[in-house]
Amino acid sequence: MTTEQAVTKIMTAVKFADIVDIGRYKEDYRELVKLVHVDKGGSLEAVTKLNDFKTIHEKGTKYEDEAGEYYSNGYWIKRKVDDLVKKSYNNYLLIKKLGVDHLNRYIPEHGEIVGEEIVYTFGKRCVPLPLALEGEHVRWVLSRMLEFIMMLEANGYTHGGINPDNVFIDPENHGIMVTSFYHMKRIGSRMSTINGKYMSWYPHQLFKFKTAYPLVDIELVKKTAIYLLGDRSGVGVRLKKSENKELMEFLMSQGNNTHDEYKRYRELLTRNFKTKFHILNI
Amino acid sequence: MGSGDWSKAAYTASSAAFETKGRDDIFTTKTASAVDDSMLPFNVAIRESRDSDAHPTSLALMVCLDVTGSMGTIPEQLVKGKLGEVMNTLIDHGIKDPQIMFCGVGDHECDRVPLQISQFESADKELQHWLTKIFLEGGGGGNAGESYILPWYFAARSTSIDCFEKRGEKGFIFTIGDEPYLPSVPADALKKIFGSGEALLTAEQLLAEAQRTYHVFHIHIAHGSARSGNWKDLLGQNLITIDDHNIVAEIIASTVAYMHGVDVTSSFDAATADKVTTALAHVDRGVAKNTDKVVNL
Repeated sequence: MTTEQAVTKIMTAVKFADIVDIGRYKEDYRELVKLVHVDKGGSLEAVTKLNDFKTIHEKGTKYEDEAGEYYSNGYWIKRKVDDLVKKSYNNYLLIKKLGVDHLNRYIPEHGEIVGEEIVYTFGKRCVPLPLALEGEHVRWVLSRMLEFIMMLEANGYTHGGINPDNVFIDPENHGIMVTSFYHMKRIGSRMSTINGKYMSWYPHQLFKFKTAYPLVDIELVKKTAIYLLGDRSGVGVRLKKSENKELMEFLMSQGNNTHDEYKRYRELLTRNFKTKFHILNI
Repeated sequence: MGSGDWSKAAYTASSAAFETKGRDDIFTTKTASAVDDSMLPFNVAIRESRDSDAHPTSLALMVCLDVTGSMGTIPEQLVKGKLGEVMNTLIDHGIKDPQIMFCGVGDHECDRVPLQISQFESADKELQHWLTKIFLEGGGGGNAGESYILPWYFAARSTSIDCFEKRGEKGFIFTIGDEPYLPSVPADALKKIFGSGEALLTAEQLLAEAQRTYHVFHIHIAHGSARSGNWKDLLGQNLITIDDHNIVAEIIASTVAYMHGVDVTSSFDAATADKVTTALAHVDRGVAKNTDKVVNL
């Protein structure tokens, strides 16, 4: 590779994996940084961008959810352990113990407490949900979220905290990764906590009956989709002007059964949208 | 909509002009076929209550009036002066930008126009305009109740309100009537009225949908032949029962103010204040705001 080619590669990269092999990134980085060094006729801008990629990959970017700060580089999550984080970890282990392969694809591959820190590894690149996505991407993210809660319900659980802070996406494979199991409960049991930031997204029935029903996850998934379509309030009515009418009716309606809602959604997709794999480059 | 200003003086003058008129002279829509197309939900994708330079803190209020046989008195009272009680009381007590949508509620099982809707408005002239355009069908039947649950569907699926979407502050829905609610709406009725509707929807479902973005109240007028049915089971403390239909406007204003932490009863005469206080005794403010943390249920 010439210096010019290396500079171009770095300057057009969207993610670290576009310029290095993540498995051997240190070696690749060393080669690249030599190539694009200003003394070799390279570019300071390219060196800076390359170093930024490396720093983020090693230290992660800071994010926040209801349990506080955490760091992720797209391949792992790291955070300090406290009671809430431990509770989430125990719930994560509960799902793992179910041994359902399909369900395991939607949660981190591995989780481990090391000293005062917990580390979840994804086993693939997954990025936090952006503030908004194009409709064609929201539709597959919604499909995956519905699949996840359907499988969780089939195994007797509700997640209770699906929202934009707790869902990562695997853009290369159109998959999702769900984290933060703070509120997970067995269906029919008493729900004790919710996410305060998204309190208005929870169905009103929950505040009356305080019971973990699939309705809770269905509502949160639909609100997350509305958020991704651009209405951060999760209400969705304003999107009726720009989005597919049947999709919006679906997102604004309540449902009690994840399987029925998933079926309804798939039928809606068939009726209204052409099936096509849309590349998401983030 | 909702961009004009409320003028106390202009409203007082216009309502005074209606004072000597009879109901037939005030309400200009005389037949179902004459109902303005823009008031039929079927023709409306979205109704918006928006912030503006003139109204930076808009608050959406849906006032849903029973237009079946026994309840025409209340729209008439609003036109003749009681609308001023609502707007003036709220504005005078710091709730500066109320925007009201009027709904005419009938009976989807037997009426020709089971739901009429206005725009959200702030100005006296526009509010009076929509109010007097409501068709008082005078229908209803000997069935189980009236369609008080239809505005909930419209509120949830077709109103976009800045108070909630921008500031997380719920709007208000007041249905007013003297009958129980019809327990469900079949899909075909929903499609006919709204042009949408995936299945039969129950009152409980529609209430839950509306409660995402609105505080939902029902004011039950307990006169001689009134039946309250199972309102209490459905709404709990948000059912407000009064036996004097003359204080509906004061109840609306007081409830909105109370939910905002303001006591407005001192602006009413002693007898009215007493009635309002009694009627609202069980209403719980219970307004919880979103936080960034975990919340215990």
